[in-house]
Amino acid sequence: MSLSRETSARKTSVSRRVRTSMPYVLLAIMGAALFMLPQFAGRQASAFNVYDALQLFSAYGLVALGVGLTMIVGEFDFGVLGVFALCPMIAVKLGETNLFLGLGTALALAALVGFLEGAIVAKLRVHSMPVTLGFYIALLGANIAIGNSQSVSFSNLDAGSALDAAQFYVFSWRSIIALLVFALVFVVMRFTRLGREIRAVGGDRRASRMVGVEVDRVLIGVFVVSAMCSALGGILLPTASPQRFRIPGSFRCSLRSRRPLLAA
Amino acid sequence: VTGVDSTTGGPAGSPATGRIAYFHFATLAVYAFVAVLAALIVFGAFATPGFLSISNLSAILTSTAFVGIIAVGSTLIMLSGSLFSISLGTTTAITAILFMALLHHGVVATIVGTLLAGTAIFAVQGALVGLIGANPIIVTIGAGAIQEVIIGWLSPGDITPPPGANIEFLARTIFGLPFSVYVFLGLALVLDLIMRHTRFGLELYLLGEDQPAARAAGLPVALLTTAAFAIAGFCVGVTGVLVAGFAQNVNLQVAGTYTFDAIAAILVGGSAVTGGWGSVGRTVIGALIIATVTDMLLLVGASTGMQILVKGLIVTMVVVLLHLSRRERRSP
Repeated sequence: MSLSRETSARKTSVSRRVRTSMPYVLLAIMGAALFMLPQFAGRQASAFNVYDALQLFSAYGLVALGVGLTMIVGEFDFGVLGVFALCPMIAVKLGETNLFLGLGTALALAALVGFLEGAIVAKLRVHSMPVTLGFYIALLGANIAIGNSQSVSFSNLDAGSALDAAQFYVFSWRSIIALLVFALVFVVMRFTRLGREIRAVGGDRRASRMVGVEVDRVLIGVFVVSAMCSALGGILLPTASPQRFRIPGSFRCSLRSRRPLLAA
Repeated sequence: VTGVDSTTGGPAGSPATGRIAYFHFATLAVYAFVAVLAALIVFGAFATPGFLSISNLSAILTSTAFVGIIAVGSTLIMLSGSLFSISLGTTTAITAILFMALLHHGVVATIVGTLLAGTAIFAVQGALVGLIGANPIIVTIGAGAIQEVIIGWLSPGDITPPPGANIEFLARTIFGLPFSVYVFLGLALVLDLIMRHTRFGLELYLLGEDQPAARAAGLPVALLTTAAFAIAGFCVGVTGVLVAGFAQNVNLQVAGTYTFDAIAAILVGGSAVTGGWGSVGRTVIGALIIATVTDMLLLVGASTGMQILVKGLIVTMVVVLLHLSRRERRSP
């Protein structure tokens, strides 16, 4: 009996180790592929390849961060895809007259969406998937309605160029912003009480409530952060390179929209 | 991703009083919402020129058919407690492309091959979910991405039927309604009968209601989950064939919004997202409600965006209100 228990414990430990190391192993494989694959085509990987990968990371990575946080608390947020599409539209429409007004309104809208989703999930105990799916569909509709089924462009090319300008060869301001957000979330999750509470809520919600964790507040807060991360990712995407200055009028569940969900 | 909190909620105050007040609120809210929706549809039916015409009612059924077929199949996935698939639209496009690409082998053989392909694609995902307990959302997101990449390599552009291919019957109108409507209603009827009157159906309900209990009772959980996904895949394959016959020109864009439209139809029908409660008939009603509201908005000149926005709001409200009502009914 004790031998079987020992074997089972060893299996669990190995499984946990594999699961923990999986993202790092994948990152290492992808990093190696980034440098090795071009050689098969007789080319050399350059700093630009890293720069380009980080550019994509800045947009999709932030959405993945948002979804990942909701997954840590045991929920799932489809609404991030809607926010990712709608908030840049708002930012561009209002940002034409005042850049900060556009950014502020878009982020405030994201916070409101996250708050509503989180409040429904936390206070009414509704499953997050259908709720956030409903929000996603509604936000997609709002995006198409506001954009009149057309892509919109941001005329402030200087802002886009400044965000895109290479810093230290491989970075740009937008990838630096994304990395800073990741670093901030890492510090909160690793070194603060809030981070421990977030993991506790995901691990055992009932026990967390019993020991005094404000579960509802944590849930609502995570949904707000998730939506704001996605909004920021969406805003950083269209203001990046001039050829990608267009915001999609519609955002279907295609491979493109699945990227952040897969990454999370 | 669990998202289930068994901690009891509820209003403050004395438990009994609070529960009675809450019961009234939740149930009345559901009735009020249904009444308002019904009143809006009836009022809109009379106030909107052309809504009650035979051609418009036929148009509603026609627009329901494709999404409806996918939705009735996917209802089995939801009832079995495996949430839903995120690759419904992608596999619809894949099967439509496959149908067109294989047509030179003959129509019947191609239809059979396409349906088998749809069934197999979903059965593999169901096996992953059922056998190793993989999260259905993650599995189906990944499966969709893999399918898109593969089909992108094999068929980057539009595919049209080969010359002489006789597939017009797929888009033929019979007694004023397209062939797809009859397929939709026929499939819905068969699946409803299966779910109500067969051992498989009852076991699927039990699996969705309480998976540990189903395991303890010795039910073949992996097989049931795989079968639920396989049936959904078959329905997706049927839609792929019909879409190909209707469009005559297919590519990956065919996927459109089928995924979320089908899920929305199931949710609006009132089936529980966690499984064990709901029916194929409810999904048919959900699909018809969405098609009717969309049609009405179209007739009053609402933009595409507004139609989708209203659809999203309806889904959210139905999910919340039905959850409140169901939770109250379960409380002692």
